[in-house]
Amino acid sequence: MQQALSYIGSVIATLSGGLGQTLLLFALTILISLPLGLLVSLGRMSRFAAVRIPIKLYISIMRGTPLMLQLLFVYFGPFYIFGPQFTYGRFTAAVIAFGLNYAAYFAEIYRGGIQSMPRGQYEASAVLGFTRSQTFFRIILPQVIKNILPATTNEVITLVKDTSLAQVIAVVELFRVAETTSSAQASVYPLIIAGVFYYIMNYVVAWIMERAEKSLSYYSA
Amino acid sequence: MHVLSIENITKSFDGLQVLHGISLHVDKGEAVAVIGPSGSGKSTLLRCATLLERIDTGSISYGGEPVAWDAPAGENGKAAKSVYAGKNELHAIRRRFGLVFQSFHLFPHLSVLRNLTEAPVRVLKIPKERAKEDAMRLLEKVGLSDKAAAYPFQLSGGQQQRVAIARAMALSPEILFFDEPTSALDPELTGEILKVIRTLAAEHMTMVIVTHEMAFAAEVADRVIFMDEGRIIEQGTPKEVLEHSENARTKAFLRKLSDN
Ligand SMILES: Nc1ncnc2c1ncn2[C@@H]1O[C@H](COP(=O)(O)OP(=O)(O)O)[C@@H](O)[C@H]1O
Ligand SMILES: [Mg+2]
Repeated sequence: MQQALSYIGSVIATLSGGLGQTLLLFALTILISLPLGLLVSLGRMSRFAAVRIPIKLYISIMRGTPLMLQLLFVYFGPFYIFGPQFTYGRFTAAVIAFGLNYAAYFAEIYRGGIQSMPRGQYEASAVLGFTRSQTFFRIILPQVIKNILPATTNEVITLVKDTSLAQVIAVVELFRVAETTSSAQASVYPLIIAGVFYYIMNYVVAWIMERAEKSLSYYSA
Repeated sequence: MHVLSIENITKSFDGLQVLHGISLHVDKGEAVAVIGPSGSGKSTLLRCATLLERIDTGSISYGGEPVAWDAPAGENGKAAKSVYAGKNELHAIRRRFGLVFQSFHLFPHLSVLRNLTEAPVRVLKIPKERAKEDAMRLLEKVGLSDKAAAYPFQLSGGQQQRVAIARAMALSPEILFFDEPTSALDPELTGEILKVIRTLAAEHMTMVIVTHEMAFAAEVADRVIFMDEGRIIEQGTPKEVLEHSENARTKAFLRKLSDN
């Protein structure tokens, strides 16, 4: 019993290095993709075809090709195309690829939310003399955020699990550490413990998002 | 000087002409009721006046401040589209009018009080405390001072519309437009709205009210305008239009209404 516990303790200690990388990758992706996604969604709805069409293409590529492929492309692409001076760290590459990919998904969520806002909200704002940006940030966006929270939660939960894909460019994150430890020790426990870590992360995500939804439920619309 | 001058405006939607040369002048303190069958262009007229739609030709001005005016005839002699004032001028002119929509369009995420103070604070840059005091006075006026902290979804339709009226009044407009303010309400709730408008009329608020409530129009309006198919068919005192009209279309419309 003592032995089993200390074994599990040592596995957890080994995995926590990878866990740190996973959490950092997750946090940076969220920090980049949530605001970037809003920008992308506005570009996607632009009146100007020169803005709208490239952004539409970007979104459809991000959503239409595997994230794993995008990771490889971001990491190796510049190296193969422009030569060895154009390289950056694996972790940086992972953050860029995840940020770009998730921004595209979030952009479509924002767009759905923005486009489903009733026209009357814009018209009431216009007649009251709000500028376009006041209307967007004070009237439209707060309502959109409430409406898109459930869809966003789903996406964030997927992101927690997707961080494991970063191992294809050899980022030493939780999944990769669990895998190597498991095969080195010929043991299934590192995989189980990694699974528990992912599960707890998503539990926390769900809890936070639920709190957010509750705090915005002061009005129903 | 008219508070509002609309001169010979036209408006089409994808080739369908909705307004055929409407002229409307409203004086300070006047209450004008606009009646007419559905689809006759009443809402479009209000939407053009409140800058929600752009007119094709004709001119609009508020208190002599031009909003839009006729362009000089184009090269081929065809009337070009009306020219609008610049963005800043239009922005300044917007504070001269208010609009009460048929379906309220309150901001659901803001409390009743914030619905009233948001525009004064953000648009007119009135200090928050003063905006709150003004808002409370307005809420009192529409009989909702106990609902300041409530959210729109907690109110009945009639209460929401009263908040919408107070919200429009919070910018101290020179003229207030109403687009069928009671049409979205259950019949038993229309009375409270009409009462508020009646109070405003007694205070000589300048108003243009699109309505199907003929008795109400007769009571509060100084002038009644009958519109049909994008044209003003007839206008005059409530008595002239609602009781003694000689016009066949006006009479047909009024007869149809009283049959229902
Ligand atoms: N945005 C629009 N696009 C196309 N047609 C419109 C639009 N708004 C109004 N119309 C048409 O213009 C006509 C007049 O509408 P409206 O001004 O709403 O009349 P009313 O308010 O008198 O019922 C109707 O035939 C309506 O279908
Ligand atoms: Mg209408």
